[in-house]
Amino acid sequence: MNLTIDEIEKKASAHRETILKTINNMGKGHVGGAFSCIDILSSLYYGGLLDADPNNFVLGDSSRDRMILSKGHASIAHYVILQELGFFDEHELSRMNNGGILGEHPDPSIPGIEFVSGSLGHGLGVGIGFALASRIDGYDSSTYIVLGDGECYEGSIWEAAMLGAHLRLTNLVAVVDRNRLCIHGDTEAINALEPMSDKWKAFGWNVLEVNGHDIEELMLAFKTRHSLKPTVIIAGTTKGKGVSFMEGKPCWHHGGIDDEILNKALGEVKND
Amino acid sequence: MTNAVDMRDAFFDRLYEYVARDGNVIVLTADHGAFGLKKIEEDYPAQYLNTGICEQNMVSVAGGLAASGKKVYIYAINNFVSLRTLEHVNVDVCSMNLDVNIIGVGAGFTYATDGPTHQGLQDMAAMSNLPNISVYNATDATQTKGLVDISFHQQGPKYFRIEKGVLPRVYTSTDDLAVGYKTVLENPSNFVVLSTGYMTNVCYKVLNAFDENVRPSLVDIFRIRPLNVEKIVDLCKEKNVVTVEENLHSGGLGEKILAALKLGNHKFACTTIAVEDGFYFQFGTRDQLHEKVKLGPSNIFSKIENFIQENLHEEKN
Repeated sequence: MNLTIDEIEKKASAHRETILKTINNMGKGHVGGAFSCIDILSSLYYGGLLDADPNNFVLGDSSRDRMILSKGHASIAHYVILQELGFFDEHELSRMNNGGILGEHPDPSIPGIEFVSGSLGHGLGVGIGFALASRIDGYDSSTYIVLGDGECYEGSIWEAAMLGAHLRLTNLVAVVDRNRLCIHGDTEAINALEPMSDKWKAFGWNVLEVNGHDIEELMLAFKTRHSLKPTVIIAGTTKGKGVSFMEGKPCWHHGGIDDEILNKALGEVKND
Repeated sequence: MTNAVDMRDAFFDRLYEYVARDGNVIVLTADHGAFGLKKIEEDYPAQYLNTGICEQNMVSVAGGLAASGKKVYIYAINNFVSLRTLEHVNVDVCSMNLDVNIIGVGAGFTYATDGPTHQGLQDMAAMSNLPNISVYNATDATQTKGLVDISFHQQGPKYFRIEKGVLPRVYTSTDDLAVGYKTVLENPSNFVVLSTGYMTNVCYKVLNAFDENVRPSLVDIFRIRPLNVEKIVDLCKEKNVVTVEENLHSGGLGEKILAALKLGNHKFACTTIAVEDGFYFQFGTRDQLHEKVKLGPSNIFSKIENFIQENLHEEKN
């Protein structure tokens, strides 16, 4: 799907609404992280980058562009897009975490999901396996891995970063959803992640910094590749983006949305 | 009898043939070597990758490759490719039920001078607790070659625990490995020893010192998971059972056999010989360490002899 920037923005707004309603139906959910990465995922799926066709989706196909949401707790942001694309029926969202196919963390039994996630620090290493397989098989397909910034505390991320650069996996693109918040607050107060860009540069990556809620900047970054290095996009984001009383509040990492909160939040998202 | 082949080379020499045959076979190492592996690196560099000493990432990369249709082998010292990586193996390999073959070298006290960081006493228990995985404990070079055949022809996660160095030969062929065990010594007494890996070699010698009238049979249990419960219960029928292994008691072969026999309503006696739970900051030869943990040939002989004396009446009934 190859939509215009304006159209992608409208999709992302609509997805915020659906996420709010779905979490309201569930009672609680990972709204903060979903809202910080929904613009990133929307850019990937609607901007002509990932050719995600439910009628032509063979799991493990290295000729196809593939994406892993390594911060699996934000899966609801991925689910609403996959549902929109036709990977599963709308009613699955209404029974998320309640006996349907969709759980809080994704796995490949869900149509459109490439690999299990939920335990942090795995996706980049798995992505190296994806990208390496594509190279071995002679395809120019890309692998996209969306990481949480808090996930970058995991040592395995840096083991993978080192190897990705060593192997010159130019077909590998990582995105760090840099919302600067963990469950217990500011990443810089907990255990400073900065200088984030310098760390990736030191590990041999092509580093791009963008506003993670600006579709135009994201699209430009996704289309920028280095001839020798894997690319990482440090996407500056806001946890809970789109709902003023959720933005930048750690408590909305995993929050409850009752009808009153839903109505307030929907009013903001619809006017976004 | 000896097979003058290092078990590592038995594994990788056989694997070399599959690498040569199938371009989808990819071999990863966390900077751990073997002569046989070197040949793969030299002749098929596109199918070989040294990830450096980062076992966790090696497992995740293997998962990504296997999820893309590759048959993957990963290699490192036992503890580092099992205990250190356990959650990565659990999530990226086992929960995905992927065709990743994990080769750990250093069973038991193989690395006898290296202390508890390198003693492979817990890896088998840890790995055999993971759903979907098959766990093999290799006994000699001949059998190891057959295990590589299994690794290539069977899908799914597998853990192979092998040795460094040359071990006496117990197996004369690679036939019938699919059952997961092999009767090495068959004697008419109603005592049977179930051992695994290196200890099968030790038990083979120890049991030959027993009087023929009471000498137990010896069965090598090389597939720890899934344990062939039905067959093992059957071969233990109306026999007193001793298990011998070079693992900690907790989670070891003995516990698994006891559970299987209980399920099978086994009425005869059973005892387990293993390493007491603990960390062994002991350094020396493997034989010296076995003496210290009471797993030397004389210890095993005494324990089995006492067990036989205590349970001889069963034979008379």
